[in-house]
Amino acid sequence: MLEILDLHASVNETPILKGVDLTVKEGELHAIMGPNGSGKSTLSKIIAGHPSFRVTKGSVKYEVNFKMKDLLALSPDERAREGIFLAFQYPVEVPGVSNFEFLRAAFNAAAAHQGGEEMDVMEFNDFVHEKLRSIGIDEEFLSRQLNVEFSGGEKKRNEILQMAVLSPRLAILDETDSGLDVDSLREVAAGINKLRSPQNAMILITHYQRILNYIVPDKVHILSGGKIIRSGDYELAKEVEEKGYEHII
Amino acid sequence: MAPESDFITAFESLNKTTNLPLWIAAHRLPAQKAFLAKGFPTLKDEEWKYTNLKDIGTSKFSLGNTQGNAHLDVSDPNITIDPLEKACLEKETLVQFAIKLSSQVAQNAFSLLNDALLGEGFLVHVKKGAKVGNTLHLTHKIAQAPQASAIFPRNIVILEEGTELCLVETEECSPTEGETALLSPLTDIILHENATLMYIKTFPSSQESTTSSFVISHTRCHLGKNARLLGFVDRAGPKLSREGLSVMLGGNGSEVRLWGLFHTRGNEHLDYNVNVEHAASFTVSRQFFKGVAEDNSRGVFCGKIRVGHGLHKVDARQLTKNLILGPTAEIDAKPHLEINSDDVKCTHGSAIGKLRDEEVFYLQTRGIGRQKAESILSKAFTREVILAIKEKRFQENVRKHARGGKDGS
Repeated sequence: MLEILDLHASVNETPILKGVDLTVKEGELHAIMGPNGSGKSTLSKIIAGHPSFRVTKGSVKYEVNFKMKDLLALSPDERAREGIFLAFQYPVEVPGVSNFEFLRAAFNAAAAHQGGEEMDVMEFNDFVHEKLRSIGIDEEFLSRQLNVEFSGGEKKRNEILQMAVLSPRLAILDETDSGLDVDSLREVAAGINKLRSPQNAMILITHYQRILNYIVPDKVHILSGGKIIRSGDYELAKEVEEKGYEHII
Repeated sequence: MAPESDFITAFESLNKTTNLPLWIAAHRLPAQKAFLAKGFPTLKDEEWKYTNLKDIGTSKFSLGNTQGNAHLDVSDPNITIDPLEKACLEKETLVQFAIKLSSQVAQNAFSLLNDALLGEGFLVHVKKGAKVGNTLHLTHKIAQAPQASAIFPRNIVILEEGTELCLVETEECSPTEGETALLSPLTDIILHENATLMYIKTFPSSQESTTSSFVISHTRCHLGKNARLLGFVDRAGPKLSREGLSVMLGGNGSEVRLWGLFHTRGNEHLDYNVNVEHAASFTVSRQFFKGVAEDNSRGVFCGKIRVGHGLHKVDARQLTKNLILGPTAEIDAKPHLEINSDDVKCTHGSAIGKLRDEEVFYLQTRGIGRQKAESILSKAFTREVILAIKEKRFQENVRKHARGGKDGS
């Protein structure tokens, strides 16, 4: 579904990624771990299409209608409508836009692109309430302004709600566990597990092993100095937990 | 040809009508002379430095008949609405009093022109102590006029002691395609002791910004002791519009709270000119204006606060925030304070910026195209003005009547 080859990228002329290779297939959940400054967030932003990051070498291919396409040629919103979702490490506060209205605009943009029917307010209301129930989020989330005056945990859960509404094919979760207390972490992890399916794939980016106590990845990669230096299975995450990054790097 | 001279013929024919009381002629004549001597403002006039009236000056207008309308949702015996010509005959003292007091609030070339042509419009009078529960609508419009026309309606609104009213004033300037039109209403509001006016100025959603229509609108308001004005103004289009709000806090303890927004597109030019004069002690003023300029449009906010001499406990605040969306759009925000007393709290703030890239990107990552994302964010930006209205009943009225108050507009 996703194929990254020899990816080099810079921000403000500073090279961050220095040759990343990664292949993700349907139904898989990959965890990308690494110390601060290793390029984890850069990788997620490049997949989502953030304009501040410049790819200097290599390719990112993504499967659309059974064909591998150049993902980098698509705008961020085109990528999203093709099923790519980025859960932000720091979700943006947008005063004046209600969560409900935002979710509906996002859902309808994808629905229109995929040739589906746009939902009116009533239909969408039923749809979104079902999603809320399935991942255990209170309905008062809907009437609040997008991420405004949300606690850290609420912001992350709101990202999971957006993911549930949009049902992406490829979700990148950028440090979704950061800044969460144990209860919030458990709730967010439960939400992510609910949304895993054989038809979609996820890339979980994290600094700490602890979220992997709740979410079991198929593959684990260690990103350091802008490259994936080791790949393995769940055991590799345990090794990081026991011995720290220094031992592995 | 100097544009002012176009009005000479109009003045002459107007002065021939004999069925009006003498005092009207006595009122019109000096204003006609003063207008012809003064002429239309130019960019050299400080208050008009951002708005070039040369297109108006070179247009040939004929004076049209006012297509005005005044009605209450439900009639109320405590409020009388008279055509101004009738009021000039039957309620001479009231009309003269209001005009005289209002001219002390503000005067410019357009108010002189309005005085020079005085006759069309309405007098609204709310009787002492009446709390009018339903809304009064005043509408001025130029629509489908067969030729280039200009109208100068005058409204006088007097709220006697202890009264309450919600007034919605709508201005529509949609001339026939290819024709020019100038709509220049002047509304004089007198709030007596303890009177409260909720005032909403807006435009109809049907109004298209045609290439040659102009709205130069002005409201002057005088507040007596403990009177209160809550005002919301929302404008967009036509090609050129100027919204003047002049408020004099004339009585101790009087208070004005103004909220405004604009969203200009294409080649529109909009100029808000707000003047608040604190002429008494214990007076409070608030101004909160937000604007968005797209494409090649231009928005202007000039807000002036003047505090008179020897006053106590004056509290004035002004805030304007603006968003530029088009590559060639322009916004000018100019606060102006003139403080002549010591016992004064006065703050002002002004910001002009662009949409934050992070906000746009966030919406894009949810599949919302860049243009739609910008539209969502700019609407959210102006909506903050409405959310900032803490007076619940007024906010409800704004949501109901003002165009920018409606979600999804």
